[in-house]
Amino acid sequence: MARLEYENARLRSLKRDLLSKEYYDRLLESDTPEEMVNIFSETVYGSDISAAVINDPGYRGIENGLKENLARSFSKIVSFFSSENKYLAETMLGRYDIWNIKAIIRGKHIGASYEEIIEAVMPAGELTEPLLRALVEALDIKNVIDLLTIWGFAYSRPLRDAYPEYHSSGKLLPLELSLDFAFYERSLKLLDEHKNDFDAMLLSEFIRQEIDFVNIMTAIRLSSEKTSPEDGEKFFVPGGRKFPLKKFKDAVRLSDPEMIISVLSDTPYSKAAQEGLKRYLQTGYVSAFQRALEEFIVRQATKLFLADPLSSAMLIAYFYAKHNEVTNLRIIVRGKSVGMNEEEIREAMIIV
Amino acid sequence: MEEIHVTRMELLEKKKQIVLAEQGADLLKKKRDALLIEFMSVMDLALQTSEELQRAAREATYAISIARAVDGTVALKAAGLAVEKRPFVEITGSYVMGIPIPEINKVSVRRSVLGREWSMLGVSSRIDETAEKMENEVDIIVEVAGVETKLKRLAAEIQKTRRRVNALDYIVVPRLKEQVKFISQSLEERAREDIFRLKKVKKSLEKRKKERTTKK
Repeated sequence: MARLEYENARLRSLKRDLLSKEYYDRLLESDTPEEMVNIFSETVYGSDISAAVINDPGYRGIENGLKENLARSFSKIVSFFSSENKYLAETMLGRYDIWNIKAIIRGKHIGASYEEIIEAVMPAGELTEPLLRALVEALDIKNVIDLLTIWGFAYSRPLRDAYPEYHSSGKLLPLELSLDFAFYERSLKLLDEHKNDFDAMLLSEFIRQEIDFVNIMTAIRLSSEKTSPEDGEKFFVPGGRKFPLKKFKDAVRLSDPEMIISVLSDTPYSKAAQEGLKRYLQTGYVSAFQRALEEFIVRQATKLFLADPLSSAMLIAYFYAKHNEVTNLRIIVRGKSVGMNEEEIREAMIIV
Repeated sequence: MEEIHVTRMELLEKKKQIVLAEQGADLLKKKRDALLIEFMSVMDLALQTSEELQRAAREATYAISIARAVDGTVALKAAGLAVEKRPFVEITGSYVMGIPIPEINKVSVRRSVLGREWSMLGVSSRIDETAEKMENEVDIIVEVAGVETKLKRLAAEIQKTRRRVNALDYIVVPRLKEQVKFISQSLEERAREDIFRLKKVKKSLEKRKKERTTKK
């Protein structure tokens, strides 16, 4: 079993940089972007935000700085994982590669400019900034897929397989779906190859739980659109833990989102679903339900800081904690910029 | 100043013009009233759609702020790149009281969750809701544009009609009446002069006749 002594020592050092609640309070009390920049200068975000606000002063610059910091922190993780354990980091961060490829093919599909596409990517996965720039410079989607194939990139095959359908229909959906499915399929396959490894199994459990959440949210969104379970089936991601295809179809068939509780009653997500439903009924938005599920997963993940300090628990916990921290900070920055009051901002945040 | 011929023919002509101008003014007043009724009904619709637009804009701004805050601008921009569809409007025309009015036949930009180009597995429901609110706002903007164009055309026509009525009521008809009065007075004056002249001639003839009789 591969132990992660070195990697976890580095992750613990990164964990120390996570902000305390005191910083949230101070940022919430600040009135101007300049005050915020001053507060951020005392934190790990200081250098990224200072550099970003030079080009783009104000709240927008702060947000850009947060994005840079997140991308840099996650790229650092990939860089310090040993080759033997790299698959763990890549599994966790591969979602950013998917995100970036999607942004690039979308941009190519509508003929967006280089600048427009480059603003929509975040180099936090395997695809580094120079590689992403090369992809953005490609002529069209076919060229993007060719480049990924030449580089031997894992997700080039699903793109190649889906390309003929895109070419004949002119619709992006086949390409996007192929990437989403390929991400989960590849992640689970990589982890299953290390079946006797506790770290791989722990991460696998988390990915499977994430698949369940994706499927639950997809089912709720399809049900609100009155889609038939047969039409919705193509969006079901296999590999989940407690939300099989039968439950997915039952959930899609629901005429009333309140009934989702009955479908999820015998799963570990029942409590999260009840909270989600409560928020949905309060606001009337499906996204309120999603936020409750996100809160559940963030709380589950950050509890892993207390688990075996030499296992992949640290990687999972840090990934979610950092992601959630940047989201919280962005909520404060955006909230302040549009004049939301402190209570509204705090409601949107997930403080663990 | 218009040259006026002081003749009976001219007087009759001017009187005919007054009748015509008054009839024209009456017709224009009726047209103006009909346009005002149409304008008021379109005005109600314009107020209603404008309120709808304000509400839709508020909801869209709130949704985009939340999506920007939670998912980030990068996620929104990435999702935005998948949107190719532009609002399509077909403009035809219709007539209201003879006025050509452009009719905007919109084709809704609203799409279902499945109708959007992106895969819902990788895009949060917040972004979907933002797209929905924005699409709704675009639809209402097109509707408001149609109603407001109609309103502007009607308002311009009412203004034009009102100016014509006023011109007839306060300038053309009074001027014609002045001219009729002037011609009548001039003709009467001329008639009086003629009578006076005739009397004078008669008196002179009588005087000459009397002198001739006395000489004999």
